[in-house]
Amino acid sequence: METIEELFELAPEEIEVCLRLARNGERFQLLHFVRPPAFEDWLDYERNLRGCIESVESEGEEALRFDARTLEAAASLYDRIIRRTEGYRAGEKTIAVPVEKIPLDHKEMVVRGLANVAPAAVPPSSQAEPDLPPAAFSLDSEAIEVTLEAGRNGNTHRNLVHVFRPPTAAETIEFSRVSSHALYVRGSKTLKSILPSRLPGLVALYDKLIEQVRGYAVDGAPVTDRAVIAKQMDPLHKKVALQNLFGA
Amino acid sequence: MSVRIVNTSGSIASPGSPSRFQAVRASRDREQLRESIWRHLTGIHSGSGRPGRHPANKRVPYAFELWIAHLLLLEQTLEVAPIPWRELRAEELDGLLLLRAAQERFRREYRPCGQCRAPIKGKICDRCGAVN
Repeated sequence: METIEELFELAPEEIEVCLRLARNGERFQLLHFVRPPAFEDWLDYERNLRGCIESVESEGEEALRFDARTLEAAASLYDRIIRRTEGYRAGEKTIAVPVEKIPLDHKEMVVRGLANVAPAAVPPSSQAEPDLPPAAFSLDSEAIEVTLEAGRNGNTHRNLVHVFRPPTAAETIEFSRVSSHALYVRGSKTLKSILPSRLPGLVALYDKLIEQVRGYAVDGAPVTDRAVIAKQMDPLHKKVALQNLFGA
Repeated sequence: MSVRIVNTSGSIASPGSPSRFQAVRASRDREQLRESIWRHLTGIHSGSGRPGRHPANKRVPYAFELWIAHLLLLEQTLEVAPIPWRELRAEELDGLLLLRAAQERFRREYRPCGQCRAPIKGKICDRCGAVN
């Protein structure tokens, strides 16, 4: 995957996800064109995941087992947002392959590609360089920056910066409140807990705290307005940035 | 047996199954929360030195671990930076009261080991084996 300095487009007409696979000595390049998932799409996806945690015994010790319906949730999201594919063949047809013909694991890979966002890894070059003159240590606590990296169309965007105002004590409590929301299944022998989606609470808190972003664009122009950030920012980017802000 | 989510604010149950499997918000299951807080306190202080790991009969469901962690943060925050009580939710206030009661009980029933200072209930320390 190539690293690029281009701005990350928040309002693309459509997103292309390319799967490169090899099987039986043949190579395949499978293109999936989807509309950008909206907040409701990701919310449905997280609900369909039905993430749960159970206590199980493993070699005499208690262990926690996490389960989620990843394939089913991804397939449901994929079916909602897919527009067309290229590279598949069904009988004589090589175009307009029906969505139900697409293998489940391909759908899951496409969704994983769309959800490819994470805190930026600290590159070795950013560690203390002995040859550089000493820099001023910033005591400025007016803003807190969180840097993410995300994949899109085969490229990695590494400088996606979210600038937050420092959270208040009440907002820290709110984050904890949202993150600790879970359900317990009474009567389950494995002490099953269900983890509902925290996306609505996290997105609402993000919208309160965000000041500006860098590395993003809407229709090719850098995003500067807070209202635009709240409206256009990818909900998964909001979630990952906020969790990183609170060190979760 | 599948569990169907009806809503996230109340209870969840599979159609046709009376009450054997029912999902409830950890913050709203008062009795289970009371029990979980006690298990959490006595598990952490059992001297195993491995917080969060409990014997099979003392396990705390993950949903309650999450909520108890929130209550502990809330308690610590309230000590140094009081939040207006209007901002506390009823389930948080209730949880804090249960937490306080459990902590009081813990202080009454446990004392520090004379040898290693680990909290003990009986005469023999689980951690160092000293007879107190």
